[in-house]
Amino acid sequence: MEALLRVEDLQLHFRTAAGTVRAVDGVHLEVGRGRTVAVLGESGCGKTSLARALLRLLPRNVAHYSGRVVLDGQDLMALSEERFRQEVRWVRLSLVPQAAMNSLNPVLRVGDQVAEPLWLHGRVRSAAQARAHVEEALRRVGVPAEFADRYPFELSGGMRQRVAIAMALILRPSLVILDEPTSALDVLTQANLLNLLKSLRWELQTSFLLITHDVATASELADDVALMYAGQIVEFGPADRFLRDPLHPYARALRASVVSLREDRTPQPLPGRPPSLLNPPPGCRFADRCPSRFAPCEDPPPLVTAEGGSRVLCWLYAPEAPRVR
Amino acid sequence: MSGDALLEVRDLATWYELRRWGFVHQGWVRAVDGVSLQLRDGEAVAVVGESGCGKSTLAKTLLGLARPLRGEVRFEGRPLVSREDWRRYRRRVGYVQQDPYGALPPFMTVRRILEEPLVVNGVASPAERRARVLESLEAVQLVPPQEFLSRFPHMLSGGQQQRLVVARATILRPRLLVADEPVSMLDASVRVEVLQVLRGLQQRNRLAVVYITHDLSTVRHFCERVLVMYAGKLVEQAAVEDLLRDPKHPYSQALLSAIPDPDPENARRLRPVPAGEPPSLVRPPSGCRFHPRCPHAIPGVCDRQQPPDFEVRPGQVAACWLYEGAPVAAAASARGEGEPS
Amino acid sequence: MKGTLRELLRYPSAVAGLCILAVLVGLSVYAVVAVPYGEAIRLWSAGEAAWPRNPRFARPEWLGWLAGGQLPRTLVVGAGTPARERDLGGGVRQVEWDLAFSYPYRRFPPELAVFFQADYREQAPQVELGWRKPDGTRTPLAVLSPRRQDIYRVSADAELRRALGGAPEVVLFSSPDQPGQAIPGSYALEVRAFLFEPGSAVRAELVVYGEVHGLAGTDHLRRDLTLPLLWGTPIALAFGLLAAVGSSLSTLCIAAVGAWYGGWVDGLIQRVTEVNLILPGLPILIMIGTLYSRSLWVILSAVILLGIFGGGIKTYRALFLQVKEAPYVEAARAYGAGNLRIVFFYLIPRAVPVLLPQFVTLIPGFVFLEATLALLGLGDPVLPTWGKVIEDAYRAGALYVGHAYWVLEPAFLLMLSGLSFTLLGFALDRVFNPRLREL
Repeated sequence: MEALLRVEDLQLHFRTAAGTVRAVDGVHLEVGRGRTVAVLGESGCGKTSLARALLRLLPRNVAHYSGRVVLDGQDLMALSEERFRQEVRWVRLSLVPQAAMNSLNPVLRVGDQVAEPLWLHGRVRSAAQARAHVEEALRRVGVPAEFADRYPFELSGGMRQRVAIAMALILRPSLVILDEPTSALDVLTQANLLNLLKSLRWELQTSFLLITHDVATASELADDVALMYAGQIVEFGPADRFLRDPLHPYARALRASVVSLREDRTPQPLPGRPPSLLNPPPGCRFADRCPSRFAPCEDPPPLVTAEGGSRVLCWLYAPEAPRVR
Repeated sequence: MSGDALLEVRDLATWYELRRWGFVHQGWVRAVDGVSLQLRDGEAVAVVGESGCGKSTLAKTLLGLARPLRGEVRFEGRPLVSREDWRRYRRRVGYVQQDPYGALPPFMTVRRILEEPLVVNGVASPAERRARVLESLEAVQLVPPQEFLSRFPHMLSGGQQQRLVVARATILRPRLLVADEPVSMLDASVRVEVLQVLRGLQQRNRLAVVYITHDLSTVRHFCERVLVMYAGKLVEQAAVEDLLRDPKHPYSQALLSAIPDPDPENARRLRPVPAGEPPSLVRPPSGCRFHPRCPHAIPGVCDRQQPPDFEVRPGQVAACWLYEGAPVAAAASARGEGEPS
Repeated sequence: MKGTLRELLRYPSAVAGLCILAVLVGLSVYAVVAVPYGEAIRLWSAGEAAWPRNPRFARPEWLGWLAGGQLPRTLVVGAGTPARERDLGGGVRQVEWDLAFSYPYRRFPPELAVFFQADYREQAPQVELGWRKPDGTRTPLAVLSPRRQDIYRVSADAELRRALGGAPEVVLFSSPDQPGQAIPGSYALEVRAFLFEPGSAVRAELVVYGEVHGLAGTDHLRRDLTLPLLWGTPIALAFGLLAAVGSSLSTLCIAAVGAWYGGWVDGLIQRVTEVNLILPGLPILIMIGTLYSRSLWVILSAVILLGIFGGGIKTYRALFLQVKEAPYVEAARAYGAGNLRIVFFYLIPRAVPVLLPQFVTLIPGFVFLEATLALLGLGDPVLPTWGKVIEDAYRAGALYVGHAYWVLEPAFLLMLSGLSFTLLGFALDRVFNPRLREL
């Protein structure tokens, strides 16, 4: 089945006082219809920039923005800014931003805020219509309908996060990007929210692109996992495969360094730091921290399709590279 | 009370006053409402709870930064009563904060940051100060230490910054360290290195650690005992293995089942968690504070009276009416819940 | 520090500001070195007496150059033909000499004067002055007995005016058939002196005043304007800097103390600030200047005092209230740092990035304040400042009588100093506040 979203060689670079930051540097991934892809990566790997790049929410200091983003067969990069705004952003593709509970407008009532996209895109003609949509949206995310008259500061963090999700879903987009939806929440609230996202997934058949740094959170929702490092996707494959037996050395090191409640192993810290996105190394970007580093790693690694359908950006899996272990 | 406890706390309560417009009294936030615990020399204890349960206030009270309303605190066997007692106690406690970037003054060099506690407490000669600074940098694995002296915090990575915070907290050679969410703002792969540093310091210097967190998964390798906090009270106290294997209090059970592991099966099923939110600390529920969300609540009992600490097993204490019949732990009892006079 | 400087130099506005500032500082240094303070005061306060050979209301020389060299420069004729002495008997000697000069201009000199220096014991010599035009015509001017230091102002001689039938400086340089313009050529002042004592002597110097003088021109008291313009620079800079430093630092410390201690301390500071904000600053300064003292230092102190409890207190307080909650402050309390230490070593350094740009942009405000006060007649009575120059010009109606340079020159310098600090301040703001940067 044709993927809902196909991203090819997406690049987004920023101009800064220190030089050009290559935040998104050649990202390839696919999101199937009704499937959830988790983009996993630590801070500074470029995943929030990826979300911005997909939604074309660009700051003023963009140095370079290119690639192909094909949504439902249509190349979004070819659309003008106005057409993108009218037809795509929030309509077919929406975002629950990071720390969404802090990004609600404090001077608007919750109901008015959730209704805004409806008015902006001409989906409703009367306040009563808007109210009906809003109440349904809030119910769907588990927020009591009467909360529509409250202000954001009167709601708890978990409730505000649900409101943000309701806002993202209000126009029934085909794909919703969730940027760290649970990272600022407590563990019980997180679990509740993840349960909500799971039921929404089954109920609405919306595709999700979940951005997170936490492997466990990714495992809660993902059908596929894309691991991001230094602006690139280094492994992309089914979640089953990735979570049980990842291929890329970074994936393995990441798993080994995370503390786990139920497993009986001691976590191994991962030494070093990710490379600066100002001047990424010419070859494999993980090479200087990789325990399996060998000679070919000085050149940029190829994107190899390994068994099981996973794609890895690593010389270890390239058929033509000499295996020197 | 046992004789070799470093810190003993009995029925501690710290309340904040809520005022409208700055002076109209609106109520009390009962952030810590009857907490009793004991800490032995060199022991690492985790206080686990969600945000709003009062654990940060507990941390501040144990640090001497917040004045308790009632309760007895004994340090090294002696009670802390006067302001002078508390001031002397403060010198013996180190503080590791959550946000390494905010915890370090951005305009001071590493050397200055570490020297400040020494200067303030009258460690005299510059030579001795320098020696101690280098020593503490080595203890947190910021090596070679000389290279770090003239750097500014923004030149360090997150993990390095937090290790610097630990160094600052331990440079006065405290007996006790209170770490309030020390790794929650760090990346997953970096948390380990900081926790390992803390563990190393604890074991080498017989440093007692109170490790406050909402993330139970980091507790396993770094603490001996766990205290579970909910709505201003401790609901369970147990050794780490006991708690992880067999949590007794329904809230601890809920916490444990809510923590995901990277298991692909997670995506295919809903996780059983209690609904609702932690209660307001201004008007807490009557009786047991967890009863509105508890799947095992006994009507007529749990909503009427606060349960005492039952010692369900040696070393494992749960404040839950389900264990009525077990002996009540000697250390604590729920007393006078009334408003201050 | 170095990084900041490098960052700053990336902005052309900062570079321009710094260059202008360097020029101003250079002028200040030169002023203080070339004309020491005491000397400057003396020259300025003495008024006309210190600058007798300067014309009044002279334009700057470069203006004359722009006008094509048509504007006459001052000619001082000191030496003339050797004196011819004759003994008239009875102890009386007659000495004659000519002070000859060439006058190349077609415009009339604004003034003529003869400076005498006479040595005698009791009896002053008697001098007869005559004028010789290029065509040879001679005109008697006056007969007088100069004292030891004397000035005979030819142009101001009313009798001569009547005798000539017109202004002397015009008639003496023109001929009846060419009335509108001066006749270029050789002129001479013929001096015949009668000395009555054996040891007495007389020296005369003819000054044909020009219309241009010096780099900056002169004012109504013949004072060379380069003096106040030059000396005004360090005074303006010093006043601005001291006022800005004095008030900013005090404001900072007081705001920090108030924010940290809270309670009644903070309340008191805020109330004092609010009252002070309502008080009208300029009228208070005017009152002080009128009723008490116009000395620059008194005014400076008053300006600082009025400025301390200003709007800055509110801004910095807001900043410090935020900084006060920072985790590192809490940590400092935990390891036992005292209140004052926290205020000065932990809170105040955070304000420096806000302080520095604000402080730089404050300076021109104070510079202009000083000029404003001078214009209102409250300038320092003895110091040569830009404001004083403008005040003098204003009172003399300079703009209406064509002496625009008198006003424009100090105004230009004021503008320049304001510009340099403002450019620098804006660039500093962009350096310290990343959100203002445009990339």
